[in-house]
Amino acid sequence: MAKTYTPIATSTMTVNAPSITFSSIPAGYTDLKLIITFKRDNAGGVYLRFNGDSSSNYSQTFLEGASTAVSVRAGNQSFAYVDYNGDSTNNGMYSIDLMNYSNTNIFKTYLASAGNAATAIDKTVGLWRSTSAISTILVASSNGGNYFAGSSATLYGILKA
Amino acid sequence: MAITSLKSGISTRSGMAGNTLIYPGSYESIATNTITTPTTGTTFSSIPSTYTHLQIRWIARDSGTTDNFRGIKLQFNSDTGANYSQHILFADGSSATAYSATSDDSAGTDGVAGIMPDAQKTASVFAAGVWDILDYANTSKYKTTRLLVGCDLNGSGRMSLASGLWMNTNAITSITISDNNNNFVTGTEFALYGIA
Repeated sequence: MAKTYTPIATSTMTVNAPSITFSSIPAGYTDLKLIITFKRDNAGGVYLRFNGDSSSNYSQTFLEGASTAVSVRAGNQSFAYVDYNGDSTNNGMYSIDLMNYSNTNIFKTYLASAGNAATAIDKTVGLWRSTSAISTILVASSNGGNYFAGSSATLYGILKA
Repeated sequence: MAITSLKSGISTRSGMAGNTLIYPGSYESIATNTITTPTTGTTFSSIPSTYTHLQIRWIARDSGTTDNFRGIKLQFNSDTGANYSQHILFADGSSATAYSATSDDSAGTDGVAGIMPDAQKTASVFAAGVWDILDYANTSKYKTTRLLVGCDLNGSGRMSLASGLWMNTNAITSITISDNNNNFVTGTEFALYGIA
């Protein structure tokens, strides 16, 4: 059996900054997995943008749990959003699966798990309405905040048999 | 923004809730079943017992024409008996609900928690899921599964987090994945992985 779950790239911030970009992502995997951990200067989640697309082609359905479980939805957004908050004292942690990211016959669906032990956990399913293969991912801090130095994001590739 | 290669093989944990701890290099591709003709189900057979856990990563769409969401289910070792149970936390963008099922003939998201879009839903959208089958070869305990699955359609959508139990101590050697109502459409794909 072939080993997979291959590290593609990682970025660790050395100064406070609003975003990380993974570019020239190879198309040779089946799925991508993005692991992010950060602190930031204001509370908020993560924006993702694929291939530089800033049009209203993104939407999400959320399942969130704090004291109770709730579900909300967001449509026609200019970014893919993943709750839940990281802030200046608590690490936000995100695990995001980008399924069939290079399949040019389908729109792209991602599944995300996020959490901040001090606030809540969140599961997200999101859609990017494009059949293009994902070759660039912008990971940006929502609400205009900065990620603190030491925040990191790692991208893995998973290849089917 | 600088990007640093990890070709040195740094071990990194993905310990988020809902995700098995993964160490790069201990995760292997076993087999992939791609639906090339609409069909009710597909089977992974002769699964080796040499891993600790299994994971199925998939995209799927249903062939129905009633503008609905449909369920997907698993059966192990061809067991069609009432030996499965599950709990599901379900979300549809408006509310979150939980329900359970006992004495079932499968594990999955049938009933109200159906997730797959049928053929009347927005074109080019497939549900996506990651199914973990834990300690699948351990003959001392019943088998537990965990599923994160969802489908967003820009104005409607569903997702669920499900835990399933197969009340059997046999090692899992085959897995049958079925559409609960109709056929999987062409392009549906299930990829099986082993985690050491």
